[in-house]
Amino acid sequence: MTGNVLVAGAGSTLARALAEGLARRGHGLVLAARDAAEAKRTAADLGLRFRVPAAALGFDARDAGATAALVPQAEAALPGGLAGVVVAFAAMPDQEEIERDRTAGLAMIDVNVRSTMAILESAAALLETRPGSFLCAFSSVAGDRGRRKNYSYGATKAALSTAMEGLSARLAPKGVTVLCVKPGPADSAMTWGLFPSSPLLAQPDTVARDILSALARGRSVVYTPWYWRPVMAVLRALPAAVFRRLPI
Amino acid sequence: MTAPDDARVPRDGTLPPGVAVSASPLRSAKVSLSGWGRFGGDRSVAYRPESWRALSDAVASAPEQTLIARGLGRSYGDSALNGDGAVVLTERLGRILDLDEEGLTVTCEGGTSLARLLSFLVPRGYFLPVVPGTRFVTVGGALAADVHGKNHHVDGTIGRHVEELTLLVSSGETLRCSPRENAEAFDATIGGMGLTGFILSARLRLLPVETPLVRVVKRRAKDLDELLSRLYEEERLSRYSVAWVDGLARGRSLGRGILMRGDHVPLAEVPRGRTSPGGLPESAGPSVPFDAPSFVLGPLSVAAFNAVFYAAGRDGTTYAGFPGFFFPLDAVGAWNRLYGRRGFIQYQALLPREAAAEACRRLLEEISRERAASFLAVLKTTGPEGRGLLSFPRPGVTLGLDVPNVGERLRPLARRLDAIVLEAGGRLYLAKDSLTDAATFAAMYPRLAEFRAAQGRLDPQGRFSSTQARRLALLERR
Repeated sequence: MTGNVLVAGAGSTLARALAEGLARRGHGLVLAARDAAEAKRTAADLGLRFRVPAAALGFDARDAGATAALVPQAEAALPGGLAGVVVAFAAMPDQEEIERDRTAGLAMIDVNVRSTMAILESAAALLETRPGSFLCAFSSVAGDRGRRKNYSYGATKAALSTAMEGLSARLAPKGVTVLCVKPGPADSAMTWGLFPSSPLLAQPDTVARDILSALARGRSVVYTPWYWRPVMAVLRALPAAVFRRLPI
Repeated sequence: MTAPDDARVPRDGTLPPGVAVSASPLRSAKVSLSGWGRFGGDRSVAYRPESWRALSDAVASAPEQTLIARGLGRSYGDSALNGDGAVVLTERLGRILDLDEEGLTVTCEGGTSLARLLSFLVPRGYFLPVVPGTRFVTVGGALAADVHGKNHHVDGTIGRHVEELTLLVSSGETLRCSPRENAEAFDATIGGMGLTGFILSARLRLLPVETPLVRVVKRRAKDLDELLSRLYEEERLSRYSVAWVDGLARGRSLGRGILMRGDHVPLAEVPRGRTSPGGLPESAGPSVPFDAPSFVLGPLSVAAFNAVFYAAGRDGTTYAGFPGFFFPLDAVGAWNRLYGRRGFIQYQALLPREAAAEACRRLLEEISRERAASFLAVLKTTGPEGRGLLSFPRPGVTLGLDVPNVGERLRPLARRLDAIVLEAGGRLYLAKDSLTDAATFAAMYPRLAEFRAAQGRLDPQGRFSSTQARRLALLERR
């Protein structure tokens, strides 16, 4: 499994860690991020350290035109085209902000559902003739149950998880892996200062390693770190009447 | 090779306003921090930017009055602590940005560790022209302390090998600084302990090497006079030279030690059967898992260790991998815990050559009289002064000692050591210092006023400060 991989949303910590893991395995990289200068610095670093081709693109998921153009752009960015696509961007406004301000919720749906699924669909159309290729997107454990603290965000992730389950069924016969990643909270800028030295915060490298090993095994869902799988299995099994009483 | 330049400007103007997509809000955490000597330190507000934008957001909007950059926290004292202010951790900004094999330079972010840089450079046939005694420091920290290595007598400090750096100053502006451009900012930043701003990136010159090996020549010296005269005589025989001193030997053996010289080994000289080590770990070896009880590095055990080390230090030539020669302590993670919970200070003084023998003798006598076991005493010669206004080395000899925290006797001891250094016309090293005072420091650094003025022009609002800067009055009073 080599070839070039598009990482959309390459500015995030988890995406950077995953991109590094991909580069270490010899993949070329097309890094797309809203902050093009950042993407360029990451591409330079990974290209140099792992001697792989690496390009950077400025990309904003809120822009429908940019979303539609991304996969063809990335396909053309490096010789040899794409062998994988990772969607790593997401919006996570405060639940309270969404309740106050409808547009914040709609914009989140735009990014997490519309743009993500549009990219996955155009990537699927491109990659379905390339057996051995893969599609991967960051969903969340938050999509497994609706919590009062982040049900709107969770709903967008539930939509994504469901879409990816179907996409996986569609592409599996063609030899294309579709991996839905469900990370718990990781040690990143998103969580810095929120969970003081919590042992449950995963290191970005751990998340990246889990994703790469799930891709290598052709899995369709990976919880990372691993303990989120049993935790979520228990939470999913709880009746709604019990779940809503939990202090989470 | 550089990355293809495909970056396009995001079409921000056409977007609906309001939602932060992946950019994170400016948020701080409370973390426990101390210097490497684990002497002093406290809970502190910390930011940890993951992008240049997040870093400039912190400079512009962090509610704390002052900020200071903190890399890998290897400065021994309070250089990277900031009391009621905040520290900004640079650990997530450690990317290598360019390798220019024709111009022989490497460009990287300020948060890049020398460990990462060397594991990138050495397999490609390059070394850094100056490395300190540990590779677990960041490039930004190394420039801010203007570190020197075992080759100071030949190559000067790391500041001499900086082609250019980009500095984020308190106005939010990014300044390109070099000896030719914004030279005042450059001279205040090299050795400026992070007080001029954040080093976003730096372009360093490279030293081509054919192998990762170092030829090491060892010679024992029975006392301080012999050790010093060997150092003076033999420094020009090798690029690298350093002496390990038995800090506990007294009387006639005071200052006995082992002189070690080193040179990079050319390919043609690699000994048979000695294949070059491939990868180099970016992290330390097994760590000291807990604070050692105080007897581990107490006077008796250190004396025993030093005696054995001295006895085993046979004269002769050997070949070592470069980490073993340059970074012997890096093999043990968190070795600072060996000194136990109370921590230790590192006392490093520079002494002008003419006064060196007498001053070294008195410093070693003071230490050994206190039975303040010094596990590591290191002596080395230094060459001409560099450009940095607060840079430490100038021609002479530097003596570095670990002094365990012996409780209430520590401060008086440090005062007596300071007096010896001052009388000899010497100075202390900011990256190591924990205990000296403003008046002593000012007497040691004649260019302090120049530094204050330059720093004041770069940071008129006083956005950058540290516990050390306040203790030693490094900044202009505003």
